[in-house]
Amino acid sequence: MSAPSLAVRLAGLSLKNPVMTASGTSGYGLDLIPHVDIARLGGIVCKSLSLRPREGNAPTRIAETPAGMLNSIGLQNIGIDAFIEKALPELRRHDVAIVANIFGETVDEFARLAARVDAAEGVSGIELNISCPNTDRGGIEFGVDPEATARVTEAVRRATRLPVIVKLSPNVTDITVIARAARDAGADILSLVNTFVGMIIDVETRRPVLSSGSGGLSGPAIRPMAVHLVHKVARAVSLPLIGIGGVRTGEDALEFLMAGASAVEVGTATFTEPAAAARIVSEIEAWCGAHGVTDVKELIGAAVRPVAPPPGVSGG
Amino acid sequence: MPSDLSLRIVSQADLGAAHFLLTMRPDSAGTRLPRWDPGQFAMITLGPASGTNDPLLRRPFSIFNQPGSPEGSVQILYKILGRGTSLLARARAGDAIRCLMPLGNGFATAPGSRLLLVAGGIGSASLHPLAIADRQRGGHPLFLYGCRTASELAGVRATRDAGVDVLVSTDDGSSGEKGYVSDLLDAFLRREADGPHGLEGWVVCACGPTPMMKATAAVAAHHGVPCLASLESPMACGFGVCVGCVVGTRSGPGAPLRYRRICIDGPVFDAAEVVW
Repeated sequence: MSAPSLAVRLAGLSLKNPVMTASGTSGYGLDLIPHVDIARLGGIVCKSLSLRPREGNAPTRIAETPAGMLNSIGLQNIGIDAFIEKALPELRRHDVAIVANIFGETVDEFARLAARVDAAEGVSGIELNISCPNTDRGGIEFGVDPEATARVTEAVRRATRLPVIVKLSPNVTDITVIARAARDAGADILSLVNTFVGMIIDVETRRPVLSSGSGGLSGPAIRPMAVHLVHKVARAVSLPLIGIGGVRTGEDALEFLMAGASAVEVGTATFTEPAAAARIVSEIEAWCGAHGVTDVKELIGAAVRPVAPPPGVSGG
Repeated sequence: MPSDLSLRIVSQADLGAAHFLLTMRPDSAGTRLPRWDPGQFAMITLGPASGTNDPLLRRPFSIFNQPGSPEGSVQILYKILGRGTSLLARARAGDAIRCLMPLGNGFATAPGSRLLLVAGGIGSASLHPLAIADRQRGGHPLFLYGCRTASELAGVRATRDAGVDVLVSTDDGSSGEKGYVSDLLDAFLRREADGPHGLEGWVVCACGPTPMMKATAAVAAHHGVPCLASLESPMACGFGVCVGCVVGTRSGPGAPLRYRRICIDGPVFDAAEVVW
């Protein structure tokens, strides 16, 4: 049997396979290059970019939790100009789709960032970080409010022809309300979920471990919750979805696909194994081969569709 | 270039006072170890490549032995400090280890430097290989080791056994001078400053807990001696992508605060630039 087809297409975003890196877990892709052939990946989603460079939060920024970790980096980044002038030309030498993740403190900043990315060569899509829980003024205010989500999405939609991916926060009462707001405002793709807000406390010092108090929880601990939310959004909106949350193996990725995602982003797993995303691609391919699946697209939404009666069983 | 290696534990020696020396070797005979420099580190975990849930993250350890050892082994000297090291201490010969190495930048000391190595507790693990390499080049490094009490000399025994000159301070006075290792450094530099060669050529290389490093950096600065500090921090990745292990730095007085990654911009920094 020939190798299964792994290519997927999400609105205007074509990927050679459904595995991308998650924003904030592979820098601008360049720090991964010594460890893995990034051309094996479906895509690289760069670390959140702002108009000006940001230094981020004071340490302590990370802490391990049961089967997970908390982070509160504070969106430290080199800024959109340095990304376009320095990182992007180097990244473009590799055959991999590049998605720019952007973050603004105002709707106008989002629009200006999107226009800058649009004018640069070599970017395949723009992901909006409307859900980062780590800064005082950005992120969370947009992503928990359907109106603010719509305003940002609309403004970015007007500023670019590139596929617009809206990254959803799980820290909301009903994620489908935000998902519909993003869809109605012109989003092409939804990615979900960003980190869950969490806290751990050092009982000796009687203080939160992270200097910012709370942080974003990621890793295998959140995967069942993330799969549930993808499944829920897949039933509510018909946009292509990217599943995110604790993917560490090919089977983890397949859970998200079956829940309705067309692709996944791998995050925390890259920290524990630099080549994790490439290994996951191989594991998906092997699974498809072993299960007679000739095209990975067959699996998308398999757990969302109504269960067909087994062959030979008649109704009634 | 770092490699993500599959290793097996050859031996795990219990040195006492919760100190262990772990010796590992490539799982397959064909695997060649990369070369490394003193002060570089490895991200280590037990178990398979795809990782474990407990602990989730690898842990950073200084590489203790010299590169190119004939038996092709990697050693780390560590002390049980938390969950990761507790689990590691239970591992036995034959157990599988994942090891991403070498990472970070080693100590960049100018040729001919006279090395004053100032270790606080298990900080000795990153300075030991520098001492050995310096001796192999014909240097005469002086190793100052501070710990809480005499039993923790476990952290410096291998260095002393290798013939390196070691001066000790303990918080409780149970061995060596009573007091802090930064006081030892200060006393040495005062004596040396009055000697025939003065302080010309001395470089302080320090590794240990932050208060000890801060005090050491202040003593070195007071005497006008350069000081390189090997920093540590919780790390998720160890190769630059998580941006979790930063330290505040200033390139000079009044310069803007910059958060730099300990794993890839360090772990060795000019102590004068570190905002302690």
